[in-house]
Amino acid sequence: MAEDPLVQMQQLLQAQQRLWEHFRQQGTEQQPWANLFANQDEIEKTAQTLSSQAKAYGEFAKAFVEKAQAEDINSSDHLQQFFEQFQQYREQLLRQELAIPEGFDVLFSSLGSQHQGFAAMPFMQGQWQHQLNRIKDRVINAEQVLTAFQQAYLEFQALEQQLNQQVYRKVEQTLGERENPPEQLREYVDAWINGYEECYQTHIQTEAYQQSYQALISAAAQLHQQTQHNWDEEYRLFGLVPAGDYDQLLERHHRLQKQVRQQQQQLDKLAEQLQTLQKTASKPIRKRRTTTKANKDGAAPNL
Amino acid sequence: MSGSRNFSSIATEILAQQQAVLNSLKVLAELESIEVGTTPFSVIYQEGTLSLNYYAPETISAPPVMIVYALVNRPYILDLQPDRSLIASLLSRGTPVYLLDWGTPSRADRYTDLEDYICYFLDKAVDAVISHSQQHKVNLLGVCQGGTFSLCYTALFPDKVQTLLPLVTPVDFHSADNCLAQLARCMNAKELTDTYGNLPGYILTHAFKTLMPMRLGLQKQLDLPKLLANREKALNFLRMERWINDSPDLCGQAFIEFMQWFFEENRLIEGGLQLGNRTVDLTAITQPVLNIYAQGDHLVPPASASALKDITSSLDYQEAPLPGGHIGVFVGRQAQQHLPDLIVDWLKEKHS
Repeated sequence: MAEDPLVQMQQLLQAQQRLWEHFRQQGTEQQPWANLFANQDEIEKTAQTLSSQAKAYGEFAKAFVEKAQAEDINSSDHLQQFFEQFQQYREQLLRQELAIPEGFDVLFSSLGSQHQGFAAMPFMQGQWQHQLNRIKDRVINAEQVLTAFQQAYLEFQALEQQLNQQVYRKVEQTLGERENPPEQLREYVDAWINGYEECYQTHIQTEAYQQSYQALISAAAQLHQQTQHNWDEEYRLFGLVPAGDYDQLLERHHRLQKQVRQQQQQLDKLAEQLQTLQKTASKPIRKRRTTTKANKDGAAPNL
Repeated sequence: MSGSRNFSSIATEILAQQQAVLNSLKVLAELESIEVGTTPFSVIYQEGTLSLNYYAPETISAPPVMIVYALVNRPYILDLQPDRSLIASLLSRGTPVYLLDWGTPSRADRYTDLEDYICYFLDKAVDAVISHSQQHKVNLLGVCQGGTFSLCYTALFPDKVQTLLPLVTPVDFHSADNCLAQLARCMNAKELTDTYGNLPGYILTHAFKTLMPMRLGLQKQLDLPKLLANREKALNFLRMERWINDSPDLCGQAFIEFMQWFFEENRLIEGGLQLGNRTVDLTAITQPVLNIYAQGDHLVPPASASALKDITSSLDYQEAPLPGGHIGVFVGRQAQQHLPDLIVDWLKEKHS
């Protein structure tokens, strides 16, 4: 490897380009794993994660080196990139976890945390006055739940940012205590991961975090409920059974099932009691029979 | 340290990493399938989504055991692969194994509650085991939430249980170091089930990952090239991944009750647990108890599991703290010898 960092970066980028070209060609010409992955969710998912992670990590490394190159390498300013990258990663995880309905997700992605009344949006212009009341109600409700979600998301993100700042300071301190700065990018990443987990374990036990998390989960649930409510109305319009009505049927069905089981248990108990009674009853009958037989034989009855 | 040294090592690192990624993709491309739960069994009882699986040893030389798994996740973790299988290890020691698989509920099961699970389904399965094994009682080995169910069941139906073996079982849901319980208390179970009907499995999977988001997320992703370095490693990793991401939905009503009665109100400790018209009182447990838990368990901390010690009436109570985490305690390679030995020896002793 040459000593000049720029030459090294060039080599790295070329190598990466060759590598991805290699993947691309294999993907179009031979598709070596495409068929094998057809019914293998886990393998396919892992391959996708591996590929995208490798690409993102390579890009991050490039940006990191460029940033570090522009500064004094011993300065901790370039740690800012970790801050941004990890904040972004955590946000991705959160979005996956919340899995908000598609329509709201699109709106939220375009609006972000900026609240803007739906009535002011271009797609509503000119239509607003002509919409049926039913649609108006939907829009108003959707706006309310989305605003609540944006608010909850903002508050949660503010806490996440505080957490990341804590992590930043921790990592800075950890790296500062080392004799030499890390030589591998992975060492920086591991330092950040360890710092994050340590701070996070304390963070999630705070009341502020728990309340904010609860509010966020609840706001996401409201988005789902609003979507479901709209679907239920559509179902009714087409004479179909909406999920809510189906649930009522299920609840009644479950109650009936419980009653049947209870009655079955009572029947089983009665059958048991009957069996016991029959056993008890069969003893004197045998005695009487014996007695009868004895009588027939001319013996005195056993009193 | 000079800047160029740093760039050089990072450039080399990235090149090596990209090479490892390529190698991992080749390894993945050569895999045909991810097999789990390969030990042969027969289904001896089925009702609703539940099935009771029987695993027969070549020769029976130890008392049978009935394993009650949790509603969360799938029970094939106990038979993940031939060399990491608690079930296979028990069989090789001559123990007949009955495994209760709760199955995958559908929306139609939304109102199935804890009374149904414990007083009906579990009871039916116990009857089936008693009948099949021709024993008068069962040896109940409850795993995680399945252990909590087993405790309730034993307290309610003591005449049907010979011995009780809770494994990584939460008892005190309010122990100080219980992060899962703290996060669980953030969730409004009623709102979630009003929204989804049943609680979707993917939410649970995310919730578990939320306990250590970076370690279980980014760190694992960056370690992928190592974890997929060769066929054997890749299969080990992917089997576990398949299990982690294979969470069945939880029946809405049972979920609400479990969250409220256990996570919020901690009723096993505080009292007042009622299933239908039956009151669960753990002092009714007089059977021999072997409480097995993991010292490094972040889901069920040792303090949560060992709280059982003070709340049963068993005069024969033993604890076995083992090294490892919540899953590693029975899936880890080292666990394949010690844990089954412990279980089988204890069962033999109690039946001698």
